Parts: sequence; C-alpha cells; structure tokens
Amino acid sequence: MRITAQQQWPNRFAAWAAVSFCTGFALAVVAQDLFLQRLQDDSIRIAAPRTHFLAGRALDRIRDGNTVHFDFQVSLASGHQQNVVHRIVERFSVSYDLWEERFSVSRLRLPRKGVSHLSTLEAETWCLNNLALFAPREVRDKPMWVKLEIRAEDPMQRGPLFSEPGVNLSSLIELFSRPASKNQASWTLESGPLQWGEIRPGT
Amino acid sequence: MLLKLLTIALIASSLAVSRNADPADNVNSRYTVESVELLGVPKTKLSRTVRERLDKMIGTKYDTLALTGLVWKIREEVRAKHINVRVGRGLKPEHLAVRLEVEGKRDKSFDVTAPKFGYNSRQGFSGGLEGVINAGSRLRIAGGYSNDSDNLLERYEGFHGRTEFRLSSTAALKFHYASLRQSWNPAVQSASLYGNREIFEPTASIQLTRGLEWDAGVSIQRLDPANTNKAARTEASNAVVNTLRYRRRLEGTGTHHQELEAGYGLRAATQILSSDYSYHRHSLHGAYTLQSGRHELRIAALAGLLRGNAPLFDTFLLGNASTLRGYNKFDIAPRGASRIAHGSVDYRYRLFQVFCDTGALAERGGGMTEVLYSFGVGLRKDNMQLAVAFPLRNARMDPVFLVGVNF
Repeated sequence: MRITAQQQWPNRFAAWAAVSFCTGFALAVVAQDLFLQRLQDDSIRIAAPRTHFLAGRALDRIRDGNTVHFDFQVSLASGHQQNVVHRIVERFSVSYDLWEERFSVSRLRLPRKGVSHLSTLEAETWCLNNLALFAPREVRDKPMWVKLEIRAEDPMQRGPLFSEPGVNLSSLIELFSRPASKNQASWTLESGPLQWGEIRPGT
Repeated sequence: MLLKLLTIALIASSLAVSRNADPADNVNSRYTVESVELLGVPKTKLSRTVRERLDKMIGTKYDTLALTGLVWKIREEVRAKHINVRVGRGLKPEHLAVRLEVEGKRDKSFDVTAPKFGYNSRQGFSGGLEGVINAGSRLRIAGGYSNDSDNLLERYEGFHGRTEFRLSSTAALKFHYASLRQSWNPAVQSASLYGNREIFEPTASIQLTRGLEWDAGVSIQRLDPANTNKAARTEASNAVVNTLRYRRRLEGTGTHHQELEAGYGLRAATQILSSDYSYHRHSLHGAYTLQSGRHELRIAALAGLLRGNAPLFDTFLLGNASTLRGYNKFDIAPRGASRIAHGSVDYRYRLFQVFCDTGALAERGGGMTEVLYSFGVGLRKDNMQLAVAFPLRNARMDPVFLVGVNF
C-alpha cells in the first residue's frame, strides 16, 4: 500500500509539533537555571546553581593536570531579544592541584586575578561572580533578556596560537559567533523577559 | 546611543584582556617533573631534538606552556590525531609523573616497518616485514613475515603476530605467536634438529621503577621433527620466562649523554609444564653508551649459562651481526654452546664507526673455546650500517661484509 503525501502530512505535523513542544519545554527548564541578582553598584550578578561546567571530559582533563580554559559570554538584550546592548566576554583558566586536590582559577584579564584551594562548586561560583554585567540606565525601563554562554576549550583545536600573547576580545567574540564544535562542551542559559525591578536585590 | 555604549564596553574589555596562557595558570607549576612517559609511539620515532626536550623536562618545574608546545611538535612528527596529556602524582612528594598518550595516527593507524634487514657475506640475507596497527593508545597489534639466518643456529622463516594491551602506564599484557619453518646448515650435526616450530608466548609486563621493567610469562613451543629425522616425534619445549630490563638515559651538560642498559633473562623449561626438554637458561647483558657531541662510545658485555638439555634455538652462539662480527657462527660452535662470554667496544664519529669484539664459548659437552677477537670498520647512520669485519685468527684475515638496517 502506498502512502500519499497528504496522508503523511498529519503525521509529520504531529512529529514536528511534539519536537517543538519538547524543545520549548527543555528551553523553558534551562531558562530557569539562570538566576540574576542586582547588586548595590547596579551591576547584575549571575548564578547558575544547577549548571556544572566543571564536569565530564573537561573535568577529566583538569584532573589529569591540564589547564582548561573556559570562555564565558554574557549578553544583555533590551526591548527585544535580538537587541544586544551590552556584552561581556571572559576567559578563565582552571587547573587542579594534584597534591592538594583543590581547584585553582585565574581570570585572564588585567589586572589578573586568581584564587586557589577551591572545591568544584566554589570554582564554578567564582567564575560567575567575576562576570560583572552592567545594565545601562537607558535600558532599565524596558524588558530585558540575559543570556549566558559557556564553552569549554576544544582540546582538538588548542595549539600554540593560544599560548601566544595577544588573543584578544575580538578572538573570543569570533569564537562565540561560531557554533560550538562537537568536541566542545557548551552551555546556554537564558533569563527573560524581565523588568529591572523584578531582579532580586542582593548584597 | 546603545551602539555607542556597546562599542565602549567592547573596547574597554579588549584593552583589559591579557595574555592567554601563562605557566602560572596551572597550579601544578610549583611541582617538579619526576618522569615523562610517552605511550602509543616509540620514542625512537621522535627527532633527537624532541627526545632531548622531553628528557630535559625531568627535574624541572612543570611548565604547561613548554609542554603544550612540545606536545604539538610530537603531534606533527608522529602525525598523531591527538595526544592526551595525563599528569599524576609522582612517587616523591611534590613531584609529578607526566604521561603523553599518543592517540591514533592522523593519516594512518597502520604502519609497515622492516624490523630487520641485512646481508652477511657468509650467512646470506636476513630480513622481515611487519605491519603494526595502533588501535588507540592501549592496544597494539603487529604481524609480519621474517626470514632470518643471523639470530639463531638455524635459518627460520615464517609468520609471526604479537599483541600488546596496556592496562595502565606501568602494566601491559603481551602475546606472541609465530609459526616458523627451519632450514639447517650442513655444519649443524645434531640428532635434535626440528623442521617446524610453533611459538605461543603470553606474558605480563610491569614497570617496577623508572627504567626497570619485568616481563613474566610462559613460552610454549611445539617442535616438529625435521624431514631428515622421520623417526622422531613432535616435541614440546615449554618454559617459564622471566626478563628484567633496565634502561636509563643520563643527561649531562650540553651535548653529553650517557645511557645504561642491562638485562637478565631466565628460561626454565620443566616437565611440570609437559615439556620434553628440561633446562635452565640464564643470560645477562649490559651496555654503556657515552655520547659527546659527534663522538659516541659503546661498551657492551654478554654472559650466559645453560644447564640441562635445551633445544638448539636456546643455545648460545657467537659469530653473527651483533657478536664476534667477522666470524662465521658455524666455524665457532656449530651445535651451539652452553656458556658464553662476550664483550664489544664500538666507537663512532659522525657516520664513521670502528668496533672490536671478543668472546668465548663452551660447547655442549666440550671445553671452552679459545678467546676470539675480531674488529671492523664501516659507516653507520641511525640504524643503518655498512661494515666490513675481520676475524683475528691464525694470522689470517677473511673479511665479512655486513650491510643492513637494525642488523
């Protein structure tokens, strides 16, 4: 028995509807994983307690004595989701003390900043706490969206390029403009739309 | 306005981005490298510069930048797909053991090599081809064909296969199989000649300490009688095998290097293992190499003792491409010997080489031969050599030509 295109259509539609629903549901769940906190200096602190980027292969590499770089991008959109008004990009290097069994994290910005003797959770939190997102006054009366993207360094791509000085912000932005490679662990978390007043004040 | 804000934010951030990697990024940079191990590819496949750089890391602080650069250099040289860097605690406090695991060849996980190929003007050609498959960093499978008249009393030809599975950085399981057909020189007069020989050898290999490796296992060999000896039956030579190997490269200043090699082998065949032969074979060898710039001096010694009734392949011999070069093994002890003592001194300057060998044997059931000497000159580049060797006996000089790779 041959199945005609018309007969196939309802099944396809149902399948697409199911996929769309599941994707939307998954995104909604993921979106809830990004929590924002408004600090006294009007900066926004980001927390993602349910997202653990120190995990999987990246964590294995760190525990094997390697330094693994994690790239972070936080973007703030105002008015509509595509209107990005502020963006920060940061790279952190994470290593693991093989004798003391504690993590060490460095932020690769001037002035350089680093901390050691951290647990996995403390290391993750330290990275997020060092992403200072400022919301300009002009955008505070409009709906806002905040998006956090994290990428573990691709072990297959890393080479001497990354050992040289001068890998600048444009390289990092270009990195985020491309989709993550199949060897690269990545996370995307979103929050919004929300009003400035809805962001919970913190200390 | 918003665009202006975004631009300012980007510029401010770009000015603030600093170097991307720093040795201090890794908290382990305060620890000292105790050992560097390369897995998945023999160290000999690397260039001398890279080998030296690897060796020089030992004793220095762990430097991720230097290591990353070196890993990429190795990756290029061995055409590896990926190299896993695994660093763990060393044996000493605050020391690290670095392990580089070469994963898969980028363009080939299959390689063909000629483990040995050479010509001896008295004993003819010897050679072989071997294909090696590296299945990841843990499994290595090799198989090939060899036809060798140099190593043993007999000329043997046939196929062999071997597998090696690495359980960890210090332990491996090995299995060797060979099916060989023997042909004998008329000078070898013995009632125990065999025609075909089949070998099964499962062993375990453990690295006891840095440079010291111990192999233990069993060797099961089936010997079919030679065509000339139709009344004989198939025999078994089953033995417990133990090998201790030590190799240490000592770095000096500048271009001075020293290398020490030593090994002890024991084969104990017993009727408990359903062996038709019962014997103990002990062999001990050592070599010291001193390299200074383009000069290289190598002093090597070998000693062995055989007790009991051993098949011919386990007897000792002198007069091949590595011992008493210049002699014909069939002129010294055509049925093999039960005791051996041998020493050699090699000197090389660039491609040029001279060598001097000395040794003596005790034939089975006979006394010790006189101490024999030989010397030779030639050219050598890495594993390739072209030499002419002269036995010093009865004031006669019958030169022997040696040409080959790993010969």
